[in-house]
Amino acid sequence: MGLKSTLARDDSKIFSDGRIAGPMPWVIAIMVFLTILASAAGVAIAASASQNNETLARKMTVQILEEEPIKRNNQRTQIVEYLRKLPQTESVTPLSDADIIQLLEPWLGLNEDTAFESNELIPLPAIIDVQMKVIADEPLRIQMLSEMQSIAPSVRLDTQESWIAPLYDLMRSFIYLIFALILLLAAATSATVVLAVRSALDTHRNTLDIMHLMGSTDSQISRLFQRRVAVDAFFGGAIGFIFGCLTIWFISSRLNNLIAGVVSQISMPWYGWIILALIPLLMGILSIVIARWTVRGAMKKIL
Amino acid sequence: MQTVVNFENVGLRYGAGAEALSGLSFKLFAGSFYFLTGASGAGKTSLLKLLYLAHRPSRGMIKMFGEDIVTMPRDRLPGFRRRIGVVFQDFRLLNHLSAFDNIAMPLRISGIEEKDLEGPVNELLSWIGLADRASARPTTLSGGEQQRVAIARAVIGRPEILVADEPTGNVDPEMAVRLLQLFAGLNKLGTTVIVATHDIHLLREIEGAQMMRLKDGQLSDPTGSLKNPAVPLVLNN
Ligand SMILES: Nc1ncnc2c1ncn2[C@@H]1O[C@H](COP(=O)(O)OP(=O)(O)OP(=O)(O)O)[C@@H](O)[C@H]1O
Ligand SMILES: [Mg+2]
Repeated sequence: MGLKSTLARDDSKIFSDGRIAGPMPWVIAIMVFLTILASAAGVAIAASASQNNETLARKMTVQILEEEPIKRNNQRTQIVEYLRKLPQTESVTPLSDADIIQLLEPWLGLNEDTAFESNELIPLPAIIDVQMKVIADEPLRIQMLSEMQSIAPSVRLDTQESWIAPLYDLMRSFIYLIFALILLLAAATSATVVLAVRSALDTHRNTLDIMHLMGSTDSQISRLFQRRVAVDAFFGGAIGFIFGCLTIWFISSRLNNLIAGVVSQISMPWYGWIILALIPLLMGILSIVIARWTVRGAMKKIL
Repeated sequence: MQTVVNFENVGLRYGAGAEALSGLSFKLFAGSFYFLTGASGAGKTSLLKLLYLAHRPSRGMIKMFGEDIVTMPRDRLPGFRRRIGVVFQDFRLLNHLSAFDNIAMPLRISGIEEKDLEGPVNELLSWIGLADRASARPTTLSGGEQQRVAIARAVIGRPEILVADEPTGNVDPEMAVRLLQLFAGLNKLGTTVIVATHDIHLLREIEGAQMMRLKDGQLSDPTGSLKNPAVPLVLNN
């Protein structure tokens, strides 16, 4: 039939107000903000999991819990020597006292000044990071431990595996949880758009009826709403995005201070930022699609 | 003479109630002028709603412009609605728009460019004597002025069919006659006009007009109340 199905660009000649009234842009801002936080957490967890997985599994920690400092230092030197000679080790790194203090600081409330004063009160262990060439199996670990015990009876050998495995399970659960959360946020956003569009349909009922009887097509009418929803959604999305990014930057700088040394730094990989930038865009598109669907559903009910 | 509207055994039922219209069969011809009369509740508005495609009949066949509009898919109806002008009983002007924008609405819906619609709208505004009220909101216009705006909106798109429901209901007799002359002018240009009215006096104002009388949702035989009908109303049975 070739009906011209566009309306004048300046549709203030049709609707009185330029925007869909109500809190929709702000709700979308909040949804985008929360989605950004959730996604950033997901991306960071997934990235750090895959980044650390292999290396962590090949990592072991040797601790010497000897209280007497001079004795401890001797034992450390000997054990480092022993470990370096082992063909299966890739690198052996004894941590300096300063490193250890920094590592323990968040747990013990120490800082460098008080730590040295209180050295006698709270004996620090010697810690040696060992990076293996392969993942150490049980017999190898038992052999290593017994040989080291002959040097220092108080030695402990920790594989990262023992606590890494449940940590990875936890990380995986977190990622599923985050997916579910994002779906819920998208659903809540859709519901908000449906409600806002329905109330706008009500507000403009009379206008729409007249337009309909004069031969407006459904797409002309739904475009009036889509355009308004688009403006509101991208406005809200931009605000949510800006606050989301600020929050991520703030949290990640805090978090990296806290966990320094435990696992390698949690950081957003480059593609993480692309994912975050897509969120307001996708939320906007979702809103427009939902608006279109709502209007068309309502229009179908009148002939 | 070309048939623009063809009803065959049409019935309309609202919900589960009795039929508001039943067994309507008639033809309307291009360029003719019809009055639709009948007591209150006889079904005039219901019949007009079928004509301006606000409802589908619950039975029977309706052809408009040669096409069956009963089984026509929804998305083709807008094209047909654009060929039909409607004056509603209560005007149904949009109060947030100026008189100009109300009248321009059908052209905007048809996708006419702004620069191309200013001329025709202003021309029509001066023809209905409201050139100086172009930017006035309907609520600031008198009843008669609103009515003229409503009529201007119905005719701006040069519809092939003009449907008017009690267009003279709220105006004094003198204004009623003037409005009717407006319809007659349009009719002379080829538009098929259907006017529903209670007002028997109006029937004599239009030379060659024909009358359709509804009674309890049924079309009764056109009587001799019209003088010299040029084209008799054709009943199909
Ligand atoms: N939307 C509706 N739902 C249910 N019944 C309706 C509806 N519209 C009209 N009717 C019924 O259909 C019948 C015809 O009504 P209609 O409005 O067509 O009469 P009318 O001839 O235009 O009357 P009037 O001269 O008072 O305007 C009436 O009995 C009315 O109650
Ligand atoms: Mg009526």
